[in-house]
Amino acid sequence: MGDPERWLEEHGDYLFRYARRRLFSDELAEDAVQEVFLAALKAQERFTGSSSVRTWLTGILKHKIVDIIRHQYREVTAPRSSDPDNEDDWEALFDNRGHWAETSRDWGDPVSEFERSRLREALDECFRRLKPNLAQIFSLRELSGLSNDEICKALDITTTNAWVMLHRARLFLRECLDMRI
Amino acid sequence: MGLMKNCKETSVLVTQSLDRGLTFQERFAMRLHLLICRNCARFMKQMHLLRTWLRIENEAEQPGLTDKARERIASKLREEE
Repeated sequence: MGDPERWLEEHGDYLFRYARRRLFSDELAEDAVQEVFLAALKAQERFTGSSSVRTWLTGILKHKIVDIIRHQYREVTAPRSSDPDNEDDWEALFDNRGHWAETSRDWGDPVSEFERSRLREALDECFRRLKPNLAQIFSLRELSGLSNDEICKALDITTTNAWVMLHRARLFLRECLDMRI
Repeated sequence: MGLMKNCKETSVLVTQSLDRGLTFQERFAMRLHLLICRNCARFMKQMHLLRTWLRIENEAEQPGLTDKARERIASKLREEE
């Protein structure tokens, strides 16, 4: 058994979970992991051992995830997202003077294991409900840690566009979480 | 840009403060509004909690690779080797 196969044994689950969390799809996460190991196989002599194998593989995976989201955003989501967002959904959060229509709640920070696992479920559920293009951009920003400039380059959108989409993603997630925690 | 913001405008500044550096004037206007508006102060807290929660990694609870996927990747690797 060569090194890459041993790496698959040791780090496959970790990489899969890492990818799944950022891609919201088992299928895409499996593809990403497969690409990582194929890339690792080709580049294994370049692995110097100065970092751990896991760190090295995760580094490759991070790039693959951005590639996959970029592709998804452009090829899969872009044509559909031409139908305009329903502006009213966001307008309804505020009254006509621009004040919050409803009082904000104090969320508190979950501490117990039980609260935390419920929070995890709520987050997953809300991500599933988020519009795909908003989930993709939000994942790049918050889960992959890309800067605004990097996002604009990857998705080929304007800065203003990125801000508006991130704002909407956050407002949606807030509304969705507020009902579940 | 006026310094008196309503909640709607402030909510935009709050989320943008997570994505870019606000200008001095924007930051001042946001802080001013947050001082007098409990709803927006809570909104700000919620936005920061959301970010914090997303950074908690508890991936061990999540399912790993299925045997089928693992086997497929392993056989791909053998093909390529």
